[in-house]
Amino acid sequence: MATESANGVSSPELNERDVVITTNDNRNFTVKIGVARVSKTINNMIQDLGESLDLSSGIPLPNVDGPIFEKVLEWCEEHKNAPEIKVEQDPHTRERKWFTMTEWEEEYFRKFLSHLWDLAMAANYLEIPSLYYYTCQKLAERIKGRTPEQIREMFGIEDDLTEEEKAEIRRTNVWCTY
Amino acid sequence: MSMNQVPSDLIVDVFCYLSGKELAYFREVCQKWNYLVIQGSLLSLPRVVIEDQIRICDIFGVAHETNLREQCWMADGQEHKQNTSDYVEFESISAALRNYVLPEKKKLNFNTSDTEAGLLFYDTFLKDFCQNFEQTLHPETMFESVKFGTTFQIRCAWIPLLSNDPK
Repeated sequence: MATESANGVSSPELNERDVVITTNDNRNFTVKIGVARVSKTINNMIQDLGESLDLSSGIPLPNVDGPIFEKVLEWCEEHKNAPEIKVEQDPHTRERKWFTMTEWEEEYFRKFLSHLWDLAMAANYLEIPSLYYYTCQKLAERIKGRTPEQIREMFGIEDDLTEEEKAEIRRTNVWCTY
Repeated sequence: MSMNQVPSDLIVDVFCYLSGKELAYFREVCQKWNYLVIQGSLLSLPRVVIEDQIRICDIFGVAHETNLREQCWMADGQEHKQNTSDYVEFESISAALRNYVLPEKKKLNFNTSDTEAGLLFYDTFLKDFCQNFEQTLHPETMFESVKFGTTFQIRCAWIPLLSNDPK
């Protein structure tokens, strides 16, 4: 891997070194490379830069803001040595199988419950599969069993369906009531 | 939050954890969810179930067939039929279903609970159908699929019968 030769330093040693990451609100985060590499996007940047990587000048993240990146970093720190997750689905129904989360992960999502969409978007951009799929699962858990009104209220979603459209949906959803 | 900011792929990845029936309710959240549920739920259902549900409705002579067909084709037109390896199987199953005469369908008891009715449906129709269809589908496999997408399928078949009930 290119990271093994970045700055001429072997991977384990490189993982212990700091890199500066700059978010879209111009906040600088000094992060251990081993933690930052949980993000495949950042890892790719480190690989691409290779020998030319300047650890102090900063890796720019134009699509993530500071407050969210701070939360993402907490996840990366905890998962820096975690194996890749495996996404599975029921072969018959194609419904995705739910992951079992650790107590730490449950607590993490309890703490950042109001930022789930932002976390999922950041995880998507940063390519952190564990954070991405777990956040999606948490979102599914939150919307499960709630009415459309409750979901709109919970996430501040604009109600942009006309009454006619809603009536049509209810008509075609008549099977749900049986 | 504007849902337009959230990528469609992400919303679909959330929907992947939910059943078809749960998703149906979420069509009323907003335009984007409505579109994605219709599209996503069809893509996530085993295709044979989509096709079968239409044909089973044909067999029952169901008024809802038109709505079902509209919903199915609305999402992706008929293109998927031409572009998938399932196409031949679709056609064979559809043809077989079309020609299948449901034995003694009047015996179906539509007042039973979900599970009972589902099993009855399986016993009186799917099992026999699958046995007669060169075991292309194992009845259990089909029934498993049916249980997911096909609460829809069975219910749609029942609705007009229930509504025609003089009681």
